[in-house]
Amino acid sequence: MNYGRELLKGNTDSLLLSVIGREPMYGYQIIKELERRSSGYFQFREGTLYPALHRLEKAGLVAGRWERLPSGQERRYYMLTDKGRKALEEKLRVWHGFSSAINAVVTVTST
Amino acid sequence: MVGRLNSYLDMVRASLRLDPAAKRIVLRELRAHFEDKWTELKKQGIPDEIAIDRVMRSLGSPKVVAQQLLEVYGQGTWRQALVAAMPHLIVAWLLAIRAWEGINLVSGTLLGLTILGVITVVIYGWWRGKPTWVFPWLGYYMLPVIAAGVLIVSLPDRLNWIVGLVYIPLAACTLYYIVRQTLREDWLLATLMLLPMPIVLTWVLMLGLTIDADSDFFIRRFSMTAPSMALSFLALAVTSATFIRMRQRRIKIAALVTPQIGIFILLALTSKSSFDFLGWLLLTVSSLAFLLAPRLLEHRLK
Repeated sequence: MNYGRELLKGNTDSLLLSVIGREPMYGYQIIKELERRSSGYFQFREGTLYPALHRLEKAGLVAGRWERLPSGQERRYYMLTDKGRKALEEKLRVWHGFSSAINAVVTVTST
Repeated sequence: MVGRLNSYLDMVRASLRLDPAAKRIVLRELRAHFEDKWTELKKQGIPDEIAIDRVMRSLGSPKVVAQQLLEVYGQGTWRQALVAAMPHLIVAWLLAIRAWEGINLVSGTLLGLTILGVITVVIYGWWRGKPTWVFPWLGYYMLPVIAAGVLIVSLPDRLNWIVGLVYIPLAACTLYYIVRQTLREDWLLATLMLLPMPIVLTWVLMLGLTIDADSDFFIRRFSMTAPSMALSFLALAVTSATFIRMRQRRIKIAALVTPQIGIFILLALTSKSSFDFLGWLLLTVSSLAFLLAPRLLEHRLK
């Protein structure tokens, strides 16, 4: 079992909500933004991004809206809902507590 | 590029057995993603074939994508389940309140509003991309086609032949078009749509077998069987709601087929004088075959 992949899987929602939280984004833009912010650490299997986004949409955490570009190309922008914003705050609170505890334990162990 | 993209999307489409409206959004979105990635790779000067391979690799297996989407959309919400059950509930309610007794302004308005409601919901659902909840409504939308056919039979001898010659091809085309459109999505949706048809036809047949020249006798007979008819439509409402709420496909199939047997047992108990056991068995088997026929049709269409 790949530990990094498992960690990513468990935190996909938090990552997606954080990225969309700043401004409405479409699928490909989300992938690029995740790569940019993590300096290339997070590289999603792109096809699996959409099931994750649709799961969040079904849970009412994000909302999707189609927009047509002047070139005629269509894109579906995702934005955070109020419920999504609250869920993100809660997830980040838990994550900060968890990562602080892990750091504290790991630091003592390694010294 | 277009050919490879279309074959990828076709593979996703074939594996996606979910709400048609959701399916359409997903496929549009994957296409947009494909185009974005392709444009970026082309800007970097990467040759066509290599660019396509990279896009395909980054999207991953269409079956895995479809499987993950099924996990998201396999189960409908309670609200969708209620909307799907609604047309059956309305018919059950009309039967329960004996809406046919004494045609007056109130019952006429009620009936008019029901028909208008069915038409409005079907048009709205079709416009919204055919979500699963629209299919039970679509079944009732098709009933007037059958009802018109029954009326034609009752026309004077020569006239019914002439009208029949025009009507039958038109009705067959309409039914074929709607069923074919539905089969493009999923045969289970066609079965969900056709659900009330065997029941309605059997009730009509049953009442027809007991008709005497005396129309009062027919109305009395209709009034006597109305509670059982209402019960059978209530069972159809539960069936539709269960179909929407269940996640697994096998359970969805069982949910569609099992209540039909229960309804036919109820029918046998109500119509002791109309059918013997063999007749009842024949009706039950042919109804089940009718409901499972879309599976064969879908196979042939593909």
